[in-house]
Amino acid sequence: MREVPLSLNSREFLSSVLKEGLRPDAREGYDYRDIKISFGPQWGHAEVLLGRTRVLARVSTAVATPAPSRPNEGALFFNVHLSPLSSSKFSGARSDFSTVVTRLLERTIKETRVIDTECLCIVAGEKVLNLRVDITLLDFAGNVIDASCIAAMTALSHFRRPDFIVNGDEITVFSDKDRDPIPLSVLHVPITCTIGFSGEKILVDPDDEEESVMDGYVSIATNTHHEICYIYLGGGVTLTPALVSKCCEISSLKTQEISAQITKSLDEDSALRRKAGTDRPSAISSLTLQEKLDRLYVEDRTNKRENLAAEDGIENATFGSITIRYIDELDTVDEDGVAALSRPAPESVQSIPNTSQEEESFPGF
Amino acid sequence: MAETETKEIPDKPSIVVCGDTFNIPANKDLTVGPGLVFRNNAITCTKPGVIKSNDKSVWIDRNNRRYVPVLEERVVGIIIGRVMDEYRIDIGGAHVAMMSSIAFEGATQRNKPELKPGNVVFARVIAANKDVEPELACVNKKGKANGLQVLEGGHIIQCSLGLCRKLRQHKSPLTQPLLNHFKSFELCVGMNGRIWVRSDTNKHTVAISIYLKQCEHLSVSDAVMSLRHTVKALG
Repeated sequence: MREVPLSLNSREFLSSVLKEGLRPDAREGYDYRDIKISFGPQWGHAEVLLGRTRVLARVSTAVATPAPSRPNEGALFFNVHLSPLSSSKFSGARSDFSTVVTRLLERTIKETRVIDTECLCIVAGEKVLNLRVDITLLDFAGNVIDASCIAAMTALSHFRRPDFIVNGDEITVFSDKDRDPIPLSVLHVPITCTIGFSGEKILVDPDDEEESVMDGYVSIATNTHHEICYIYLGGGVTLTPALVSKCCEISSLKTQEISAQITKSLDEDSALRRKAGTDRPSAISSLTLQEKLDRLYVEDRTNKRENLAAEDGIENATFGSITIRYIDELDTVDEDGVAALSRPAPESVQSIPNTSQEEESFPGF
Repeated sequence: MAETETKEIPDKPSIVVCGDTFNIPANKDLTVGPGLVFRNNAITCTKPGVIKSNDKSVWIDRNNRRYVPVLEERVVGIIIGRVMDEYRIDIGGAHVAMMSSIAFEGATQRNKPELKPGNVVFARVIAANKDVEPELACVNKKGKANGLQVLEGGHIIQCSLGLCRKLRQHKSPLTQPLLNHFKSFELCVGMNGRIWVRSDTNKHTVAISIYLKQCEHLSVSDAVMSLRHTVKALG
């Protein structure tokens, strides 16, 4: 569908509204629009709704050869797709703006070393786990940059990578059924804050109407430790040092709020998965079909599940304790790594009992 | 194709899908409206929606966002260019509409409004054919404007076609709250999903725009409550 042209009337109206100090959607001060974060069934699938801008982020892994300059680190790739279904502005082909967003995410997340990539090394110099974050814009209503960054950070914090074991020359990368996947090691959480400028006025989190009339913008990524991770000037404006300073303060403030919201939504998702039992997929494979089906409909069956647990039925009988074996304890692992699960845990190896009442704090925060 | 049972046109509004057929009522003359087609001695639905009928006509109500030009409808168009003596106007349909540069009240070749890309007109559709570009005019058949004109100032918002139809109803419950809250404002509702709003202050225009966008999804009472909040917030 053709893009609706911006009429002269609307352009003048928006300019004069901004000049008055109002915002076209009656937001006050430095308010962001409502942010809603939701997750998909797979680990690393996060969808963020910022006002009406909707962004989907998916994280996936692949085993690959490392770059020769970094032989014992996994790589992190970003790919931003501005889908034509989000707006008639985008044709689906690689555009300047999609490159801007991709580079911005790379610089904010990859180059500030958010993920500990050394954990992704399988065999130094030969095999590593590469991470790939695919970001798709589903609905365009302004401020794609912030929505993409929030989605990417949420997806990376949510994602669980496959467990692997190196036994001499043999590398075994376990499927989710055999061994529970492991969360990534997220060292800090940078969140971008895009601030538009129209004359003298500052527009925090510009929506599509404001973007069509603003002079320029700046995106500042800060983390919860008040460190500035990246500053990107979108052009069109010259900024004074005082203004940049002010924008950094605003960004810092917003990062605290948004980080708190991300943590909260991750915790809620964890709790939901724990109730359904889907946070430990390796446990599920040993259940009978009926038990698996019971776990699918968690909202309706929460009461039923608690009753079952009380009877000491499903939870403890089917699978004993789940063990996580570290790579330097190779001597205790069988050739068939899967079979080791059914053996009782030796005292030297740390074991995690499977209780759903246990409180787990989310790594990285 | 299997024979579908034809039934009577329902008294109460009910949901129909494409292909549903109805008997022609024997005792009255009905005008068959949008979404319905008179075919093979029966009335067939060609669009999904809610079928409604009154004494004189039967039609299908549905909501959509893509505009298909219909003869004699009033639309809000945005000028995107000029070709010799005609303006090219975007009305949100599949084709770009054309309007003669002298299709205004009292206009002659020497004395006519000079419009630029970005200007907004409220025009009526004088030719609407699915294969040809639609044509517009800012005059009625007798040469009088009757409300059709170039719109100055104000703001344009996009909405669904169903909302536009609701707003154009006589004494629509959606526009009554605006009359209670604002002393003076102007609304120009195009059947193509565009509403032009103008008010004496920017704050009022912002409040009205937000209210209209919310009418899409909220019930009237919720939208009115939200309007009060917005007006209070704007001061």
